[in-house]
Amino acid sequence: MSITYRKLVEFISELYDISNRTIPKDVKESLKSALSRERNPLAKKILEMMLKSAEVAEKERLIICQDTGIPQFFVKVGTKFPYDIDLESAIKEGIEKITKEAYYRGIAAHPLTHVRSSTNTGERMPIITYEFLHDAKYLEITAVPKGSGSERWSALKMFDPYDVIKDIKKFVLDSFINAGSRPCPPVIIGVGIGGTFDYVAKLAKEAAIRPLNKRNPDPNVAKLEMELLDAINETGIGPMGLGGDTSALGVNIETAYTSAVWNPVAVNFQCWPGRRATGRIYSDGYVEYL
Amino acid sequence: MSELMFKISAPVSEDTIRRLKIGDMVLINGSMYIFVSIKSHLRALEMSKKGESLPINLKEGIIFHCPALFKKVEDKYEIVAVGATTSARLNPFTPELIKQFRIRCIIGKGGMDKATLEAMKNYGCVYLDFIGGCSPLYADKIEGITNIYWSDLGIYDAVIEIKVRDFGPILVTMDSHGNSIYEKVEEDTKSKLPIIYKKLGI
Repeated sequence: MSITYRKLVEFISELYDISNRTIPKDVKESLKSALSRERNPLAKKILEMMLKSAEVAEKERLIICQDTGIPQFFVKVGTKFPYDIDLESAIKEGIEKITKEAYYRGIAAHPLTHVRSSTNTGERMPIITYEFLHDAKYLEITAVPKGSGSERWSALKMFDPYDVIKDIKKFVLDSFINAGSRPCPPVIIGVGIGGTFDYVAKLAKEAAIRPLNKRNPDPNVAKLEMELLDAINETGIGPMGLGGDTSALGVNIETAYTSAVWNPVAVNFQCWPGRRATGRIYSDGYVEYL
Repeated sequence: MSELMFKISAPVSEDTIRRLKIGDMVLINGSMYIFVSIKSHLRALEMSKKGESLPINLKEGIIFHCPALFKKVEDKYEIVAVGATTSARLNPFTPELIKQFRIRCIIGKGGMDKATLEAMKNYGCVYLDFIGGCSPLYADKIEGITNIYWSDLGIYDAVIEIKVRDFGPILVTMDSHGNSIYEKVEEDTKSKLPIIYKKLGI
C-alpha cells in the first residue's frame, strides 16, 4: 500500500477533528496538578469543571468549544517521504470536508471585507508552515484550531537591547494582564524571543503548542519560564479571570539568535484546553496519532 | 461567598434576583434566549423605542451571549455546541436592554461594564459566567430549539429560544447589589502588581 491524495485528505480531516474534541494529555495532567495546588474554592470548582469537560468530550466525542477556530497546520516533511502529492490542496480539502461534516463554524473571512468563505479556507487559509525532518519516512503534522480568545490578544514588540531581561519579563506579564479573562485562563503562554519581526511570532506560536511537560533545554531560558509562570500565577487573575492561584498552566519560551542592536519579543496564548493534535502519516499510508 | 445553589426559570421575579449574591450557583430550567448579535440588540431596542411590540417575550427573561454551533437536519436547526462570547462587546446596548425588558439574567463570559452593573442594580438583573471550553457539560441539558426569531438576520444573528433542563451550575459573578467579581479580581491584581514587578526586578 502506498500513500494517496485521498488518504492524506482523510488524515487531515480526522486530525483536525481530534484537535477540536480531545484535550492533550499533558494539559489534563497540568490541570490536575493545578487543582491540587489551588487554594481558592471557586477556582477549584472551575478547574474541576474543566477536567470533567475534558473527560466527557473524549468519551462522547463532543466539541470542546463552540469557537472551532481558524485552522493552522505545522507540517514537518520527512526527507524520505515521497513528496509528490499536492499536500497544500489535500490540507484545504481536508478542512473543507470536516468543516462541513462536523458543522464547524466557517469563521475564516476576507481580510478587507470580512465576508466569510463558510468553508474555513481561502487565500492562504488554512495557515500552513513547513519544515524538514532529516531522514524521516513520514509527514508529521500538528493541527491547531485558533479561536478568537487565543489569538486576538497576541502581542509583538521590537525592543532596543538595553535591558533585555527586564523588557522581556515586563512585556510578557503586561500582555497576559491585558488579555485578562478573554483567552479563557488558565492559559498556556508561548513566548518568542529573538530572530526577526516575522520569525519571533512563529517562535511564540511554536512555544504555545509545545507540550507543558517540556522545558526549554537552555537552563537560563528554562529558569525564565518558571520565574514568569510564578509571577503570572501570583496576579490572582485565576481560572476564567474569576480569581485564584491558577492563571497559567505554563510559560513556554523559544529563542533564536537576533541582531545585536534590537530584540524582538512576541507573546501568543492557548486557552486552557490547549487545543492541538499531532499525527504522522507514513509513505505506506500508515497513520498514527501522537 | 455563600455558594448556594438556586433554581430559576423565566419569567424571573425581581425578588428572586435580589436574593442572589456573587458566588452563588444557579441552575436554569425552561426557556431562555440565545441573544448575542449586535444586530438583534439594535433591532430590539429600535422596536421598543418606536413603541412596537416584539415577537419575542423578553420580559423578565434570561439571555445567553452564546455564538452557538448549529446543524441543519431536514430544514430544522439543532445545537452542536454552546459557549459564551466576550460579553463586553454588548456593553453599549445592555443597560437599555435591561431597562426596557427587565432582563433578569445575562449569561456570558468576562463580565460587563460599570453602566451595565448600575442597570443591574437599578432594575434587578444578574450576570452569570459561563466557563469556557465546557460545551460537553451542557450537551444533555439543552432539550432543543423551540423558536427562531428574526431569522432574516441569518442563523448566527437571529434570536433563538431554547428549552433547558437543570442548565448549570452557572456562577453569579455580578449581582443586583452592585457587586462584581471582575472588579474585585481587578483591584486585587492591581494591588499585587507592584510586589510582582519588584520580585521580577522590573
